[in-house]
Amino acid sequence: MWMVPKDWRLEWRQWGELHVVYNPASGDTHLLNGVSAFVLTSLEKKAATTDELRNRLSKWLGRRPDDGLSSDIEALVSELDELGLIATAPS
Amino acid sequence: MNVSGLSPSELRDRLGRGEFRVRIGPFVAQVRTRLPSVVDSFRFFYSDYPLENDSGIADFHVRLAPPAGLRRYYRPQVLFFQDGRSQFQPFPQSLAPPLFEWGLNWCISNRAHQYLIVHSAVVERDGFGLLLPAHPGSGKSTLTAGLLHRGFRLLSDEHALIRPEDGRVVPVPRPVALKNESIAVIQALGPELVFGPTFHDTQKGDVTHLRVFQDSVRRAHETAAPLWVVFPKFVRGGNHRLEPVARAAAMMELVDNSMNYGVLGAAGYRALARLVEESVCLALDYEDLSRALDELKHFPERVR
Repeated sequence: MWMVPKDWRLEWRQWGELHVVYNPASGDTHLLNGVSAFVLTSLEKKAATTDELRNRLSKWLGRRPDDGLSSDIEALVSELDELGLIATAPS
Repeated sequence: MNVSGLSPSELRDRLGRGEFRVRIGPFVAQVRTRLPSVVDSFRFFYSDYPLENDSGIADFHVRLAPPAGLRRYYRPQVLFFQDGRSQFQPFPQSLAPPLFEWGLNWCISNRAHQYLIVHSAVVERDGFGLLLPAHPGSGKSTLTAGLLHRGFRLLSDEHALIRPEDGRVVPVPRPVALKNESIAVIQALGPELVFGPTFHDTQKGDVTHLRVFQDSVRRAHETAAPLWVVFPKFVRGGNHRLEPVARAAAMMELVDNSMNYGVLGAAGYRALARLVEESVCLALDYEDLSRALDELKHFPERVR
């Protein structure tokens, strides 16, 4: 289960299709594309497993939640975790 | 009273006793040195700058002095002290005048955290600021000197001091450092540009400084609203281009060029985001200075 802790208070700007997010918890600034931004904002609103994220994303993209999407989500979540933008949620 | 109001002996005595305080933009620097080359350099570059009251608070306490011991006689060296602490390795004493400028750059970069500091030149026209953020070697100072020659006012060649509360840029006009091939290019522009001596074999190669026009010093209290952010890049033999940069990409580039973004935290992020939202962001690749200056002459018109 993944989440964005409420007290991190990410700050967002969107310019065109790109997003720039500032994470006060790390002091880092990140450039995100639309898909990454969707996943991160989705986790900001509500914690989710990768399966739940896949379903949310497939709905947003308007495509079936196939294996390709699952592996893409796994990779994206791993990257967001390495960047310190998400954390594991207490079960 | 300005520095020029002091006689040569008064200037030398005040600098020697550490009783010399000069206003440079928003800062007051208290300077102490007995090195004749630095005294002469002050007289040349800072004659139009206002002297400050001895009893006021100085932002920077700076001293240039030789290291102790016999080393002062053999290949003499100089140290730069800030608040009594030596900040760099010793330099050859012949480089004392540029060391003062580099040292003051260090003071501003490391102490002036009331501002968001971007490594950028800033020039002004009609109240609007044109920022040239760039890493060393990008041709920033060459462009700046060219723009000054074409009538822009200098806010800074090195530090864009952005006030987090309103996004305006605060001037800190100081001599413009030119290096290597750009020295001859700028010196050829005309006799109205006045230069100090050229220092050879520095870590940056040949270095000289362009004296700031009196008008820029006199108006050092007039802030500017940033309007264009131009990322310059000197490209030898490359294609000339002046093109829009996506705001998100500009933001990340500005983060990379900021000197104290990490210190300011969210306030720094908001200040840069505001700068990006309120400015036209452009990339300028150039080799021909004259052509680049022609492109920038449209400032402060909006270009998109």
